[in-house]
Amino acid sequence: MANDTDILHYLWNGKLAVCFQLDEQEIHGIQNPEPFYLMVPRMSYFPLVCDKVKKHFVKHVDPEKQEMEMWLEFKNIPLKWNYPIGVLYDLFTIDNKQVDLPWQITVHFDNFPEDQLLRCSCRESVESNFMSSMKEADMLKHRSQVFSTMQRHQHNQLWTGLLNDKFDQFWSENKKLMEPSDGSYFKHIPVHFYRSGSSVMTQTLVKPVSDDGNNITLGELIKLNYPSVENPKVFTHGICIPHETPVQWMSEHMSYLDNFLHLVVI
Amino acid sequence: MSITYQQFVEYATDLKNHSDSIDDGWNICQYQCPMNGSFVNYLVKKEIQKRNNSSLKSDDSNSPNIPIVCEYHILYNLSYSCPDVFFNMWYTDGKLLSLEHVWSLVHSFLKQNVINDKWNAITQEMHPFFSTPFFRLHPCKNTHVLEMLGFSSKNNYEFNPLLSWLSTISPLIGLEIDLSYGNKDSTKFS
Repeated sequence: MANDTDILHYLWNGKLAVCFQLDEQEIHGIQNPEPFYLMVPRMSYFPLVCDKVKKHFVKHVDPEKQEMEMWLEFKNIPLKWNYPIGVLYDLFTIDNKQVDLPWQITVHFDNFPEDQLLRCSCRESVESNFMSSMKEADMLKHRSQVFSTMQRHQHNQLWTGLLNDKFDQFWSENKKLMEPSDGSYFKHIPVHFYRSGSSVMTQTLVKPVSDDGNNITLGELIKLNYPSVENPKVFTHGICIPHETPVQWMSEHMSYLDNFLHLVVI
Repeated sequence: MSITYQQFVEYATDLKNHSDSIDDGWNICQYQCPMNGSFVNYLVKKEIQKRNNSSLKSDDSNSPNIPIVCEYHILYNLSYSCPDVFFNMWYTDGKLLSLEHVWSLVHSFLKQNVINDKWNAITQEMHPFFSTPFFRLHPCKNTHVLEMLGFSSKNNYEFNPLLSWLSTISPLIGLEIDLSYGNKDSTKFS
């Protein structure tokens, strides 16, 4: 399993500088709020790192709207909080040389786009979303035989490891989920596919090994699923991945914390 | 019991045929995968229900009934190899019901079970075809439900497993299944 821990640490520590600014239309009163700067982990989710952002801006909006749910937008695209932060950044910036760090994100309280974003009224919604992704990933990798036999406290280690940004706590349990079940392969590879610039996610069954027993590489996977894309480039964690990389290796080393590979294709 | 996509389509077609005969409103829709262009079938039903406007805490049956616009999608889940139900409910002004309200609409005999474990029962998730928010009954127990109902991969059954599953979970999602589905001429399923 995931034996190259340098890579795991490197990806875990990936951070993005973000500049949050309240939408101009929503500023209430004469004083304009200062922008709010934050370093956020690529692997985390916005609702888990935005308490301070909300606290900073909430006093600058109409008192009647302060109870409303905060949501984020980049260039008129509402940001889906259920995608990892790094995925959102790669989706909307990788193909655009104009975008620089810090990432400029607009904060809203009003007009929640409920036809596009999931409600996130409390931390439980993030936890439930995250844990059900992990469960699904384990279903794909091991027919759910690892996750479902873990104890409640082991599930909690995974969640609190993410919540508190504790690598060792998270990986002490996650390594069990990254163990290939028979021989050296997972049954299927959990992958979420995206096209650069769109928040539509697609999923399909991905095998790690071909019928004749060879490793399936990223290049082969993309050719199979995007037959009409010429010279596709595939990014994850902001890195353009060489096409000869085996997908089994990628799954063990480059999955996000929900145990899915999130691949952005351009 | 897990089912294959081909079985799912067979069961869905049977359900739709009976629905047509009693004018129950189920349709089969097609989704085209944007990656490789393949088509996937799924069941859709849209209806208006009169529902109690109660909250999760207050359980008074005196609150007025209001019309709720409902849309149900039953699709095949590739990861779990089982059926998967997504649904949305709106007020007539187009505003989506809150998750709390959806929990409160669970049939009274199951409500306490759902409330005790609500974040593992029904939550809001992205629809796998449209990437838009839908409510969803968590799919991981669906294969288990099918097994509890006596279906196993080895047998042939006189009943449509999809229908048995759907009528089992329907009280959770406010869906009514007409009794005639249960005594229609049986087809053999494999």
